Amino acid sequence: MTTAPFSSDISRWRRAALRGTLSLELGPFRATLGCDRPSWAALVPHLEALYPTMAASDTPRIGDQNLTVRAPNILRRYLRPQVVGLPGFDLPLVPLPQRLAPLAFEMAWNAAVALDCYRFLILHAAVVRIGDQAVIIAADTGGGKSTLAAALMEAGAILLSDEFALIDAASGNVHPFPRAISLKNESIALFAATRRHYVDTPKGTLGYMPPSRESLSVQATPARIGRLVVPHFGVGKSAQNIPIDPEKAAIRLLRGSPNYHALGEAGFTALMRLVTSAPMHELHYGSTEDGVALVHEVCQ
Amino acid sequence: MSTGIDVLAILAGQQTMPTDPVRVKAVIDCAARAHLLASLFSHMRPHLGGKALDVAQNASIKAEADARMLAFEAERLQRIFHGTGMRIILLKGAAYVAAQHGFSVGRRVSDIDILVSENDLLAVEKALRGAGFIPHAHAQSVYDQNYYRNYMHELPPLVHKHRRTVIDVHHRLTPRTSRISVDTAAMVAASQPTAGGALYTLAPIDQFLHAALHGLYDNSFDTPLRTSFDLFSLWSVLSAADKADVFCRAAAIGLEVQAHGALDLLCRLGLVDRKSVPARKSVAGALAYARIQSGIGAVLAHGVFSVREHWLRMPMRLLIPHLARKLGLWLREKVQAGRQSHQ
Repeated sequence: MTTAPFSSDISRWRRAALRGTLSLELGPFRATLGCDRPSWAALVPHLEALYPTMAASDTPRIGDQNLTVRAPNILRRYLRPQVVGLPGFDLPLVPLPQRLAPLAFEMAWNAAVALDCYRFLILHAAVVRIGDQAVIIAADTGGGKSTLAAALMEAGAILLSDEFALIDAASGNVHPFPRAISLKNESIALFAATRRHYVDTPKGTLGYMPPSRESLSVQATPARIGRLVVPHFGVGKSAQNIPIDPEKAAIRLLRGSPNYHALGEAGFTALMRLVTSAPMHELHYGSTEDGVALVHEVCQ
Repeated sequence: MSTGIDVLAILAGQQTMPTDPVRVKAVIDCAARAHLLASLFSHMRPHLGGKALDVAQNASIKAEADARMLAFEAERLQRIFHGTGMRIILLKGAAYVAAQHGFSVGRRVSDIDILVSENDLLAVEKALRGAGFIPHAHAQSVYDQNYYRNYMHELPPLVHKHRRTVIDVHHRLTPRTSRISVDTAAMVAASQPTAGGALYTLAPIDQFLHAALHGLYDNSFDTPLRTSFDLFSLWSVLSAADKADVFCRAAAIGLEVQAHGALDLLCRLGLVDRKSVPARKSVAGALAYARIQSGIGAVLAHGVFSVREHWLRMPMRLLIPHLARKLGLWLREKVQAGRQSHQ
């Protein structure tokens, strides 16, 4: 039942993935992964580059997610090869070209968390830790959540999550889930630490930035949420910080929650506690530096 | 022994959770695929720790959300039909929750099924439309609407425009065109009011017979474990008198074959002692049992079930044009999807 860092024994993980019994642990989750040969070959450089220290194991164990990255059918394994990332339950999926197996993996894990995890209140948001408080960077379409999270990380913040704020309803704390930051198109060039690039994806060009060593070292440590920010990047905008009332903050957050509707009273209580204990700020800015400065300003 | 049969035995309290971690994972994954995870955990939660506890918590929160949805919708139905004098009978999952059956704790439910008298059908539809239910996106075409209204045992599914809850309004228990004819009126007449509510459920014995009909004779047995667990649970809650009376009642409403099929399956699964019930060996029971096993037998049984479902549902002169049309639509969708992915 022992785990080892992913980069330590790739051939062992390969055998496990082909059997469908590779387990990967990150933050509060354990995902089981199964692959076919070509998909594994396309996926492994991504995992090696971005998650070298992720705890892996090849013995079958109960997991939170059951992921499969494989060709949609046997023909598509070799003939104009394609790949799908299955989240462990029925979900209509558009097959991707086989070279995008890493994307299929990332999307499958995201789908499995967003659509089948109920033991946390989940918000669609990036999360960083500045000092001892967590800052939730809520997603607003095109707002620039991931870019801001990456910039904050370069400025010394600890990345806790790029995609989901996993809030424990009992304690109100956020659990880290430090997956690689996915950056799109123009944002990629801003960060030298971006490791893997994928062109011509359904979302344009994608680049992934690995979580820092510090992020990974605190992945088991939940953090107290101190601030909520909603980034609004726009070329030519001047820096502006607009405080948002708690009740409006609640509505904004629940609109971006994939599971609030299913949590009943526990979800409501957790959300109310969040918006009354952590003030929300809408941040408008025209440059990433301004965005970082605004976040530091509201964290004072 | 297949993992599915182990899952059923554990659910029925006749077997304990395995201790070998590899078997534990197999059992949990199998139960999760069958939407039975929360049911599986509902009576063993205190003994769990670590990842198993995480997985159990996750499953039970999801199942509690389903139960809340059902309770909420049942309450809305009471309001919608308050004072109309129409008898609204909850079927399947909604009925199990309303009847406060212990086994309904943790049972996953996706939609609400109700049964009404055929005379009330249009009035019921009008009332639901007035309360915010609209035709489901899957059944909006003229063909689908006519198909349901002319041949089926239910209205085209309705979905609430805000809550997205799906409701199936039945006026019979089998399609109009089905080879099985059931005395729906007798079952309606025997239905019983829910505790403290203005809604109805079928009598316990009829709930079991309806589950037998629906599970083994009106679809392709696509959720074999859940159907089997429902049948076992509904059988277990029957009184001794009801159990003794089951074949008599079944014969009276035209479900004798179905009663034998369901009980034969439960005996084959080892959940009911064959000596305790006069169930005949049944082809449907054998097929269903094969479907639960793993391997080639299950694949073949699945094939037979699919063909048989259609055979039971309508005569050939309706079935062939219907399937031809569905095949045409499916091909058109495939071609369009292919075109899009090449753009």
